Amino acid sequence: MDPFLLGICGFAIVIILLALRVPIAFCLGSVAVACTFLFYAWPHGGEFNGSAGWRSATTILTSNSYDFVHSFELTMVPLFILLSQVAYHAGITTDIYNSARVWLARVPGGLAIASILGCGGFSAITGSSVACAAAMGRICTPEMLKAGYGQRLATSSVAVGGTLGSLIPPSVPFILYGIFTETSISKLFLAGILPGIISLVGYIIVVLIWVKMSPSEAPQFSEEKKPGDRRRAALKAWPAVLLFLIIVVGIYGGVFTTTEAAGISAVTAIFLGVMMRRLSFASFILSLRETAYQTAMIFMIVFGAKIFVSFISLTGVSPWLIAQVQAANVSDWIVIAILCLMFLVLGMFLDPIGILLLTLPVSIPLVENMGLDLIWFGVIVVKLLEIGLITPPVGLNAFIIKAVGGKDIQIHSIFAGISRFLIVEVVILVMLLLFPILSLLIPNTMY
Amino acid sequence: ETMLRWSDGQPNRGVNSETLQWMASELEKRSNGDLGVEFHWGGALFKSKSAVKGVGTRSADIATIIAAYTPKELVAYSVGDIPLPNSDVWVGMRAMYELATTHPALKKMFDDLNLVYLTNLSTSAIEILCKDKFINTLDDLKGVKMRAVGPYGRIFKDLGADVARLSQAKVYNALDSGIVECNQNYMYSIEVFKQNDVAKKLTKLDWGQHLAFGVVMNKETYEGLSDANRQVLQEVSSDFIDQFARRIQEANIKALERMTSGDSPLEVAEMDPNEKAKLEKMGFDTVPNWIERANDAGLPGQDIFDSYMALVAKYEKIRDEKGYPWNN
Amino acid sequence: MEQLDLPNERSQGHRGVDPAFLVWLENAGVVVSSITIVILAGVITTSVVGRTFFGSMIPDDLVISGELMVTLVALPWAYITAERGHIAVELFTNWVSDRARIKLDILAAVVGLAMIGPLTWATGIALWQAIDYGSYFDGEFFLPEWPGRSMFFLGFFMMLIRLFLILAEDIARLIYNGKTEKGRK
Ligand code: NA
Ligand code: NA
Repeated sequence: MDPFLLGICGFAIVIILLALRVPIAFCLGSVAVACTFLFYAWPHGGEFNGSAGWRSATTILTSNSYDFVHSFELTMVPLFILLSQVAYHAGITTDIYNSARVWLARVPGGLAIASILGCGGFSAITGSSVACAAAMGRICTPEMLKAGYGQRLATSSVAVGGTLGSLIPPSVPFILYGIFTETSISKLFLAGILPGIISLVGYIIVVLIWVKMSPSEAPQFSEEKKPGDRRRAALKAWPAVLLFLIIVVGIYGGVFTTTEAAGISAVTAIFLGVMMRRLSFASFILSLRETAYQTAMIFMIVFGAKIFVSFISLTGVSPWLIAQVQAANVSDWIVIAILCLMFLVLGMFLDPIGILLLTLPVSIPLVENMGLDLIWFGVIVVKLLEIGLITPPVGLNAFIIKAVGGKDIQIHSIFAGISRFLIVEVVILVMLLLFPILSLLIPNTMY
Repeated sequence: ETMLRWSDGQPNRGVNSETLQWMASELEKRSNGDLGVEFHWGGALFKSKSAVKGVGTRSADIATIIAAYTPKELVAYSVGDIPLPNSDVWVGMRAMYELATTHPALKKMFDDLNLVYLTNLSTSAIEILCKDKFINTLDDLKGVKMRAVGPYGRIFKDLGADVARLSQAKVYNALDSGIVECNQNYMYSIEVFKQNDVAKKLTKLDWGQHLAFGVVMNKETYEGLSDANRQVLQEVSSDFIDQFARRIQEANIKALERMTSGDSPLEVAEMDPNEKAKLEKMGFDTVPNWIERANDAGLPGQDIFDSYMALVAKYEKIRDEKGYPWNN
Repeated sequence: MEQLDLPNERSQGHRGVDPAFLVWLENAGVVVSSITIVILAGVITTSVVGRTFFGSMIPDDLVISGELMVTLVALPWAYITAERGHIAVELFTNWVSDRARIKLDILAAVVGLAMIGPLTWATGIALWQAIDYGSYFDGEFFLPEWPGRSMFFLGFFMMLIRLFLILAEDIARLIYNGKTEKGRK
């Protein structure tokens, strides 16, 4: 069979199966298995030979599953997930939010701003946006609703704030991007910090404008306060600060590698939880089970994608695409714009890791060929994936907020709220595209 | 026309990939376009770990193999990784090439794995780069946080170094931040990974090299070629050795020149000769371990080792008498 | 992919044909995986602390981490599959009838088998070869390859069995007109 045709058919079948509610891992994996088999069994212009084809395909299957995951470096994925699980169950997450809340009590929309800041804080110790939205959604949204906030603001601020989870290090999407593109994960982590902070500031500005224009959305919140509350609340956030310092100072201060930082910070979080008597044995076990469950699920998708990437390499679709782009002689900016559009459209329907793994085999050779910085492009990709988390119809963060918030919350009001943040998202995206220095400043000064 | 699918675990950069591409273009040229090559770099098809299996099952027709990834399967070939004072690239590669193509134990090993050995590669001689000290004596290794790999790493560890195993790509960061103070590397590779930016003291050790590092072809693919094409393949494979040895030596010399000039040059020193002799003795002391491991696998360990040493001596003599082939 | 963060979500997972031994085994998979995570965190921490303060490390820690990693990744798969916990895009199919929904479930199970069947076979072959050759890792102790490969194969094999059960159950639901369906949303 013509490998190229096989490649195109493979892509098409994946899309159809995805739409038919087949799990993402199975779509990618089964098509990759079948097409790899066909590729070897039925060489272009040759006879069909099933057993030979099958024998050749087995190496691709084991290399892209077992060999891939038999890795010291990848252990940072479960360890960072464990860190965020323990931080949540030990209430470290709640402390971050509470400290922001006490400080912002008098600011209009203070609870929403505190939620966004809380998300930013939790982002610094979790590797996943969805985990961030889930943890903060359970804490912040009920508080805001209780204080009389409108449903749109109370839900969307957390859904949007949650997207900081993967932009601010640690970050599972950055880890996977680094592994797939052979770029430095610690540089990617550094590159995400400034764009993360810019996004955070952008969200706060949106809240301030929103509350200014419709004050009824966020009634003035008054809490009985004692002197020293602020100081006490701020001091209570020390475990989160400590964990973030372990990650950042540990890595960049030369005490240990990124993988080791993941292990040390997870163990420290457990230690803190036990010492402060806030991590019960039952919730420790629960943290472990959830870590196991999530890691296994992520890697099932990763395997499907890895095998698919090998298959795409076999077909030669990527060099063809590069040749087409070169022949078309369009400017780099148009290619980048098309790639961004592709990520945004996929982001409307797919989950971030699925998109990341589906698109890297074609997008990275293109970007590399244009001579663009892969670290900068990594930040752009992750930002686009984050936007995908809050765009309808499949906005995972919105669904999470709905799921943890209970049946009184309307999914359409979450999306209605989110729509007010989308303009600032686009502005930030364009800024990151036009000024690579925003992403590269920190990694370049550190190296 | 036969299209050969070629998998390499390394990215498409540097001396290795340039010379492999030279080999591909020579194959095409000398077979009058009969033999074409399609490269899959960076482990896009399968990882280096799977290279032996991948070529054996014909997932790729040709691949680069590294014995350290499949130490049991390639135990006979791993004789090339024993830390011996054999740092001449051309001599080492020629010796391994002849050993792999003539010694019955190695031929049988490749045959059992459904492979045909084509040619050899080399890392070139091992050097030590440190942030702020030279390794003049073996005592200087005590307590040093050092990134090292393989059998050489085991000896540094025995000498009291704290050996960390990192990939070469991570060493820049590790040296910069002080996670490691020293690194085991090869001259051209130091520059490729820009490690001379963050570490300035190079101890020119010129110890052994990793030679259990070669190129293999699937047996059925090989047998499916015409006699003429097989002839071309063998010629190009043999010429590859001279070509690669010349290129990597030049790359090492040029890298050293560039790194020792400029604003912030690398400082270079050599280890005290008596101390280096002690180090080499420790390398020889690991030979019985290797022989035992080979014997455990049912191989004539001593005979393989002796044949290898004889070949090293043979090519050293040829070099001394006639010089390198490219200088003639 | 973070359904587990949603406390109510798991109970919605549908369990049909449930041989007690398999359920026990699947749960054991998650438990072993959880324990493996603790060991992994311990190995890495000990290694760092050892290096920083005592100048010594756990030998072959990279190989051990890899072995732990394949184990912890593979063992929960059957459990996740039994919970129907793999992420899918539900958007285009929300409006379909219950009967069509069952058909889509059957499709998902068939496609899953098309992926997991070959992977089970391939990892089984790789395990057999590792035992046959006596493959080991390069390092201090030349640790054998078979333990990690067995765990990896076991993960796929348990998932394969669960997928077959799910397929059988969904076909039965379709034949009996969805009447065997219990508790599915
Ligand atoms: Na994060
Ligand atoms: Na979306």
